[in-house]
Amino acid sequence: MRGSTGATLTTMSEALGNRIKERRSELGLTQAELAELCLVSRKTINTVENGVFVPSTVLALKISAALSEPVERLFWLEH
Amino acid sequence: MGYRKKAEFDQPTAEDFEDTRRNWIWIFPLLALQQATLIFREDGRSFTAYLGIAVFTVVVLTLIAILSGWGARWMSKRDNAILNDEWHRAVSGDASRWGLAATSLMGVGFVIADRWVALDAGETTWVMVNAGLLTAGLRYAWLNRGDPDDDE
Repeated sequence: MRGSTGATLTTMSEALGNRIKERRSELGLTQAELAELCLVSRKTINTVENGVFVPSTVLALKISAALSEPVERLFWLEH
Repeated sequence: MGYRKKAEFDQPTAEDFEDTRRNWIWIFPLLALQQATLIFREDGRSFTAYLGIAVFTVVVLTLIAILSGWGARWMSKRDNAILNDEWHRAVSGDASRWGLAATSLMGVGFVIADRWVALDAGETTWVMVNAGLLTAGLRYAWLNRGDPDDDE
């Protein structure tokens, strides 16, 4: 999945896991709809979801609010 | 007749703009070569030189606009926010660092080379500026390559 999104900003993406896709599917939202709710491009949602890009705290909280899920359940540190 | 309404034709959306920015940046190296042939060709008349300088200026300003995330005045705040979102800022920041490094390295190279070879100021400036901008542009295009996966 990572390769198909294009870029890999690997230094920024090594340690953050997420379950955005699962939660998004539960709510029946597309990436485009989630992007619209967060006021970012679909590319941003796509790269965050695939672990290519680590979002800022602000964006993580916006995604969390849009998906009605506590931020600590959406994102976690991977060791 | 199937014509689009004028308002739609004149006002590309943030998504259109994003696609254009991502896909067309690859042609900048060709434009840079074209600039050089117009500006520096041996038998260049003043008209072709000015044309080359105009192309050079447009390319430079376009790349700076892309890297800096200049707002598009016809777009809403929402669309401008989407165009200049976190992913774009991260990618353009990374690309700008590469561009700065390329310009600096070319500068050092020219200073060293100037000890042995007489360099032309105009050509040297052109190469330095384009080396930085093209490196930044290509790095931006590389990081931003490919459409996102199919939406689900």
